[in-house]
Formats: sequence, C-alpha cells, structure tokens
Amino acid sequence: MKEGWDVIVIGAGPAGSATAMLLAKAGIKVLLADRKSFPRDKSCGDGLTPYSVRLLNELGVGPALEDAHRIKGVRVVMHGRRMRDFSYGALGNDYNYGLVMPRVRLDDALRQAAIAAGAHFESGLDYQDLLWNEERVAGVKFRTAACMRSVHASMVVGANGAATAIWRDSKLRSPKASPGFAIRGYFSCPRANRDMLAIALPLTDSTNSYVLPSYGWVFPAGDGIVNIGVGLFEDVPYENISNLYSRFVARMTREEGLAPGGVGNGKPWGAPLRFDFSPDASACPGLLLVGDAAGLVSPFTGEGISYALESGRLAAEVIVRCLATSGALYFAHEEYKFLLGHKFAGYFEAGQKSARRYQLLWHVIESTFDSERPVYDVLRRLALVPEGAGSLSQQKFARDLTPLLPPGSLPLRRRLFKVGARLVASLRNDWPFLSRLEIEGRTSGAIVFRPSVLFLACATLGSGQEEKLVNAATALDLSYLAIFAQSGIEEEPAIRNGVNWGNKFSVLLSDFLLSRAFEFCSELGRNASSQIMISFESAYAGSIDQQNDAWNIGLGRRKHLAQLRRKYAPLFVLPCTLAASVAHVSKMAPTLARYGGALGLSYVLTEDLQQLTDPGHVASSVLGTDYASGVLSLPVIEALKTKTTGAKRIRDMYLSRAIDIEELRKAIFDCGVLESVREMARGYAGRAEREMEMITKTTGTTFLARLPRHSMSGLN
Amino acid sequence: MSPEGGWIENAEVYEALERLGPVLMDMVSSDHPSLAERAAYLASLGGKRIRPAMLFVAHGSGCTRIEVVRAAASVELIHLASLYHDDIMDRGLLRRGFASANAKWGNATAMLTGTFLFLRAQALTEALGPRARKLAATSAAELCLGQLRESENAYNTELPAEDHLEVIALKTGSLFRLALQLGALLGGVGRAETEALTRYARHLGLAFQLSDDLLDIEGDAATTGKETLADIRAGVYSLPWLLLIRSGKESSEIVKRIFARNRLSDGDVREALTLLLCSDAIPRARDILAAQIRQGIDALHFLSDRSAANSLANLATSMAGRTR
Repeated sequence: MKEGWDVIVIGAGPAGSATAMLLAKAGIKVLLADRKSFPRDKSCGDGLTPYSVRLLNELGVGPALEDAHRIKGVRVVMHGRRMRDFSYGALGNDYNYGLVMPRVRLDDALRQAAIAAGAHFESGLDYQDLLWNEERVAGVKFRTAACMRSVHASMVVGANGAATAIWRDSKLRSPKASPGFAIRGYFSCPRANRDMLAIALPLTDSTNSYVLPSYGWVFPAGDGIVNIGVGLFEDVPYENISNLYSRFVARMTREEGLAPGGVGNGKPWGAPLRFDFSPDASACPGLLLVGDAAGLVSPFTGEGISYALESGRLAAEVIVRCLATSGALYFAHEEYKFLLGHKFAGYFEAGQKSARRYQLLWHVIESTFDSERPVYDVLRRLALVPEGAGSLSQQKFARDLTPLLPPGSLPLRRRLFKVGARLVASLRNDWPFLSRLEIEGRTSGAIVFRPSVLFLACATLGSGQEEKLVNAATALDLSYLAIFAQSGIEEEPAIRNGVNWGNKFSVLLSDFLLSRAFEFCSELGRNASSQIMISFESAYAGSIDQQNDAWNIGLGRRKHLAQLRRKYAPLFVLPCTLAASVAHVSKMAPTLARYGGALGLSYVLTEDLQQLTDPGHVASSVLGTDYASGVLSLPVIEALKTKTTGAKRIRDMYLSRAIDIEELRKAIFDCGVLESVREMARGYAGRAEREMEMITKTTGTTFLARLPRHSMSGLN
Repeated sequence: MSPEGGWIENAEVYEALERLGPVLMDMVSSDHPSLAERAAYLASLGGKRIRPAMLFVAHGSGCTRIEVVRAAASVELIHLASLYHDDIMDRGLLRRGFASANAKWGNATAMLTGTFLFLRAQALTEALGPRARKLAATSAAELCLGQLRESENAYNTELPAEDHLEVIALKTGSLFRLALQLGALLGGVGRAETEALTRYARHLGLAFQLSDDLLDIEGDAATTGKETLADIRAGVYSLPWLLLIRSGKESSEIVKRIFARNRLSDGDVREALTLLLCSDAIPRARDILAAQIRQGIDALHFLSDRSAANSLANLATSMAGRTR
C-alpha cells in the first residue's frame, strides 16, 4: 500500500514542530519526520527573545518554559570597550522578558506538544530527496536504518535547517558555498545567574589587524551554567571559526572565570548560519520552507527562533486554508511566498544585489554606537534587539489612533493603509531595510507623528481623486522620514580620520527618501510642488536661525516660538494647506493653516516636556531639542528668566558651551517652570481644537479636533 | 568662455551659457539673508557648467530662450546640491579651491542648504511640464540610488567590474542624461534621437568617472600627502583596483589582504599602489575608457543635428586626455 499523508514536515526543530502542531490541531494528517531520536541537543545560543516567549505561549507551550532562566535585557559590547544595555522592560507589553532555555529541552517540549495535538512523529528518517509529480513536489524519499522509504503527501514543509540539500533538490537556488557558521559550548561560571544576555561585536583576528564579520555571546542559563559562542557571518580567508571560538573562550575565562560544565562540558559544537532569506526562494509547488531552511536568521545577532516559529505558523495557516478549498493547494506556495515576503519585508530580505547592504549598516551601527541621535537609536534597536521584527507592527500605529477615528471613517482608514503600503513598496525594491526603519521608528516612539494622517484628515473637507490624495500623503511621509534621517547629522571635531559613517548614512538616507518623495509629488501638479518648496524654505530658514541662536541665552520666547513654527511647518502646516489645495477647498486653507500651526506647537512643546521629565525619552524623538548643539528650548528660556540658582546653573552651562543633559534636567526642574510650559502646550492644543470646532463637521475634522489633546495624553 | 567650453561647436550655446549665470544666481536666492548667502555660495564659485552646456547642445537652435536657460539652471542646481552633500560625506574641506560649505558653516547647515537647492531645482522643473518634472524626479532618484549602492559596496573587494560600472552609470550618468533629455524635450527632438542621446549619456558618464579615477591614481602616485588614496582608505575601490583584484594573480591576493586590514597604514597604501602601478590593471582600465568613448560617439550617428553630434563627440573624446 502506498503510504500517504496530507502533509510531511521534515525536521522537528522549533519551525517544524510548530508547523506540525498547528496543522494537527486543524485536523490535518501530518507526519513530523526527523533523523534523530529525541530529546536531542542542538548547537544554538539558547536565547529566547520576548517575542519568542510570546509566540511559544501562544502555541501553548508556556508551561514547559516555567523553569527557564529569565532575562531582563541585552548588553551589547562594541569592540570590547563601549557598551550599551537594552532593556526588555521598556517594551511595555505582557512579555517583557526573555528566557534562556537549552535547545535540548525547548525542541523536545515543542515536539511533544505537536504529538499531543495529533501529529505523528517518527525518528530515524533521514531526508534524501524530493519526490515529484511532474512539476510539483509530491513527497519525500527518506533513508531509514534498514532501507529507502518513499512517503507521499499533498504538501511538504522543509524545516530541516540551514545545511539542507532541499534547495538543490527543489531547484529553488544553488546553496552558496560558504554560509556563516556559529559554535557554542556550555561552561560553568560564577556569574551565570545574571539576568542580561551579553553580545560582543565585532571580534578581531589573532593579530588584531582584521576586524571580522563576527559576534560573540555569553548567555546565562541559570544553575551555574552559561552558553558561550561565536558566529562568523561569512567565510574569511584569514581566520577560521575554531580559532575565533578558542580565543573568545580564553578571553571569557579570564574575564568571567569559566570552567567546563553543563551539557558537553565546554565541548564546542557548531552549526551553519544562513541569512540569505528571499521570499521567492522559500517555496515552490508542493513545498514550503520554514525557519533556517528559508534563511530566516538575523544578519546582526544570529537569532532565529522567533522567525522559525513565525514562519511555521504562517506555513500552517496557508496549508490549512488551502486544503479546505478545492484547487487552492495549487497556489499555496504563491500565497506563502507573498505573505512571508510581506511579513518579513525588509528585515532579512537581502536578495542577490543587496548582499552587502548589512555591511553598510554594520559600519553605521559601529561608528554611531555612542550617539544618542534618534535615527541611530532606532537603527541600533532594529538591528540588535528587534522586537517582533517579523510581526506586523505597522498595525500598532493604526491601533493607537483608532480610538480617535469616529465611526464612518472607513475611507480615511483605507487611505492611511494605502499610504503605508505605498511607502513600503517604494522603498522595498532598492532598500528593503528602510521600510523596517520606519516601522521601528514608529513603534519605539521616535517617529511620533505622520503628516499623512493630518493631510488625509484635512482632505475629507473637500473632494479629491483617491490616487492623488494617497500619492501626496506618501510624499509627505517620505519627506518627514528624510527630516528624521537628517537629524543624524553631527558636527565633527577638527581632526578628521577615516569615514564618518553616521553622517554619510544620514545624508544618503535623507537624499534617497527625498528623491522618492519627489517622484510621488511629480504627479501632483505645479501648485502643490511650489507649496512644498515654500514650506521647506521657511523650515530651513527657521533651522538656520535656530542654529545661529545656539548658545544664545538672551533668546526670547517670542523669537524662539517663531523659529519653531517655521522649522516644523512642513510637518504640521504643510499637510493641512496642501490638503486644502489637492482636495479643492482652498478657501479653508487659512483655517487649516492656523490649526496646523497650533497643533505643531503643542506637539513640539509636549516633546520638550517629555524629554525633560521622562529619562528614557532623551534619544527617542525627532521633534525634541538637540541640547548638545546648544539649541535652547522653551523650558530653558523660561527657566533662565527665573531668579533661582537653577537659572544660574543653566546660564553657566550655556556660557561654557557644555551641556550635561542630566544636570540641565535637574536645574530646569528646580526653576519650577515646567507647569507653565505645560500650560502653554495645553493652550495651543485648545486653540487648534477651537479652529476645528468652527468648521463643518466631517469624519476627518472630528478626528482632527481630538488629535491635539491626544498628543498631550502621554504627559505625566 | 572657460577653456572647458572648447568642445562646443554651436555659437548659440555660448550665448546661452552667458545667460545662465544670472539665472542661476536668481534661482538660488532667498528672502532669508543667511540662507541666501549659503545657497549662493557654491554657485558663485563657478565650475565647468558641463551639464547646462550639454542641455543647450541637445536643444540646438533656440537654446537661449529663457525657458531653456531655466531648465539648464535647474540641472546645474541638482548637481550643486549634490556637491554640498558630497563634501559632508567625504569630509571635504575644499571645494573649487575655497573652503567647502561644511568647513565654513558646519555639517548641519551644509546639509540643509544642499537639500534646499535640491528642492528648489525640483520645484523649478514644475514650470516645464509633467514630462520634464518626471524626468527630473527620476534622475535625482537614480543619482541617490547610485550613491547608496556605492556605499553599500564599501570594502567589497568581490564586487564584479560590471556591477561597479552599473553603480557609476547611476551615479554619474543620471544627471548627464537628464541634461540631454531635457534639452531634447524642450527642443522638440524626436524619440529615436532622444534615445541615442540617452545611450550617449550613459557612456559619457562612465567615461567621465573612469578618467577621473585614473587621474586620481596618477595624482596620488605623484604625491604622498596624508590625503593619499583617501578613497581606498574609505573602502571605495575604483575600476583599476577591482580589475587588479579580479586578475587572479599573486598581487591580487596581496592587495585583497591589505584592503581587509583594520586600518590602512601609509606603508600599506604605498604597497598597494606599487602593486597597482606594476600590474596591467591601469592599461586595461584605459581600454575600457576608450571603449566607452567609442560607444558614446557611435550613438551620435543617429543625430540629425550635426553640430550637436560633433560637439558631443568632442566632449567624449576629451575624456581620454583629461588633466586637472
């Protein structure tokens, strides 16, 4: 009798077991095949990010994780000298901790959950080849201890890791000769109960003359044991991974007092690393690849479990849906490719042309490691501690503003969604990573605002062709992102050595975004373009005035507010007035301009206040004041007017041209001016609200009337 | 007229170039005194105005019309804007013999000013109609993409020469192409001829960059200052270097190893340069340059305006023997 299944899943690692479990839960007949018998060990850092913890809980294996070692965050050490801590606590969701759990236990827990859900598990099945039915994968040929065995199925899921022959057999691509490689070992260590993961970037060769595309990690596993390892992103001729590992272990032995211990007693064990994910190479008729087999590993930290679980879940969803509809199975691979590409858009997608893209980001992260500028902060988080990079965190923004959207605002929502999609599509082809930067910026609070929202809401007052409106809104968002990128430009000391990758990146990014913005604008017509121009000219004039008034403690409130008004006009006033002209309601322009101006000031003052009252906020927003370059904020100006010792301290800081943000914060606090600034911000919010109340109500204006107060709701 | 204009065979183009200066200065003006001073700075330092001249040449008869002069000025403006930004990225302290904008006013101001000019240029193309607007936006996007690609490939010794040429075509060819296409558009040049000009622009862009790279290497070989071979220290490898690395000879392995080093010492740089000068990479790069010039000139056969074809052929030929 011919052996047949609905689905065969090859490999019972996290990706495979998650897929099998979800398929079995949906009542699908699934074979989960692995060449090893379980429990079995596996080379890995064993770190589970908060997002992985969340996914595992959603999969129902939470109880199995209960005794795993809890982690509060990640410490990244750059070049063995500079370090930064990234706390998971700041994530503000239910799973604000990570775990370290040895793969021998994690994988077995997931496998058992799959069996409990009804999947049939068989060990001793060693993948040999795919079986074909014309152009479609129709099963798998396994080698068993006794013989060769052919197993047929409607769908095959490849979850057999990075070193898979399945790429060659499926003709999806020819495996590159030299993927990355990682090695780890367990040691006993007196400080194994710490609650921070440690990652060292990058490592050098033994002579210290070559910086290697590499990283090292020390992950505390609890119970006196640490997991230590190194990863090499690509093959390099002047160093091999074993030497790199020995040197790193020797260094950690000195620094941390290691001794062999745990599983394998310090014996090194390696596994290949593959991060050449490309949606097109992750499926073909009858076959879907998940996890490492699809190249889903972070090109920055080597993390892969959350992506394994997520791609497994996606594959299962697609298969369940397609099996339920007659004929749909023939398109399952197309659907999977599309969804996978959308989900991980930009995060991994390297493709052929852009294999070097990560190198540029590496240079930037390295050279701006000490900078607090928002754009570098976002970039760093995105690369080193991505939280749910694979999740559709685009949704977050929509969620935040959803309570403000009145019923019946479906067109507005639809257009906002279109803008998001157009933005990603316009960046993805040339620089996929950028679409992530935007999403991450929004999630982390660095990108606090999107001009497209303002524009589209104002446009509800008139009429306008949907295409035109969406294009204009996309252009506005792109130029806002360009301003965000420009905020990374720093002045340099007189001694100039090597490349300033931070500045270079900021210039490239900003110009690139702006040029894309203009491509969208070129559809809008003459008037629109000159409006944008005038607004930006005014903004630059405001910025230059602000720079000219840096360190000027005699700057008055009125002049300062005028500068802010001009500087931020493209973000707040332009969207309103442009909407009036694109939506053919030019007579509304003056009212909308007043609304935008007042809203902008309430936003900017709110940012200034948050920057001073919330220590975690310093680096995160593009609207905040750049104190390091001597620019004054309204709280500073008001504080200087008081006759307090705080005012004297502030004056001294500005006169000596050295601002310590902590000191400044304390001094401003001592002057007791924050409440009056808060009052002013409230005043501007109220003014904006009143402008809206005086005009005809539409779903858009109801939203606009609510926006000013919402913008202040984060203030404590 | 500056000696660089020697390639132009159409007297009207000189006249148009005379009119360009005031129009350009008018375009960079602003009501805000500080912004006006900064925006006019690089434009006032002069330059070869090669892109405006190309636009006039492609346009042909009637190119002194104000509309055409404005179009030429907006192409030059995009180029000037990119210079403000290039000097920030390359940490350049000098531009055309004077202090660069970033050296004078700082990076933030130089960035704003460059972006201001870029936006100005785009806004000015509005008046030229939807087709011109689209061309300007696309060319600017290609220019930026080319620069991005170049930076992505920093320290990439494995970059194939063909890919490197594609990057140059984007980076250097895009504005040459814009100049010729705008000239053709405003001058009512037909589609087939515009396509010929587009092909020419690509080859000229490549020739321009390659001759620049060769000049750099020869210039560096003659001096040993601190700035020697700043490009290879920054991981930007021009065609001769990539040809040497790809040659598969012993010297290619040595150079690759040197380039992989953490920081290049002056000794490293000298060693690499000696290996390059002793190899056949420079003659091979010269051959490629000559081929680009030839292909560029070939494309011009399709032009009916012979004075334009001759001028552009002269321009291409001048790339072979450029000196500073």
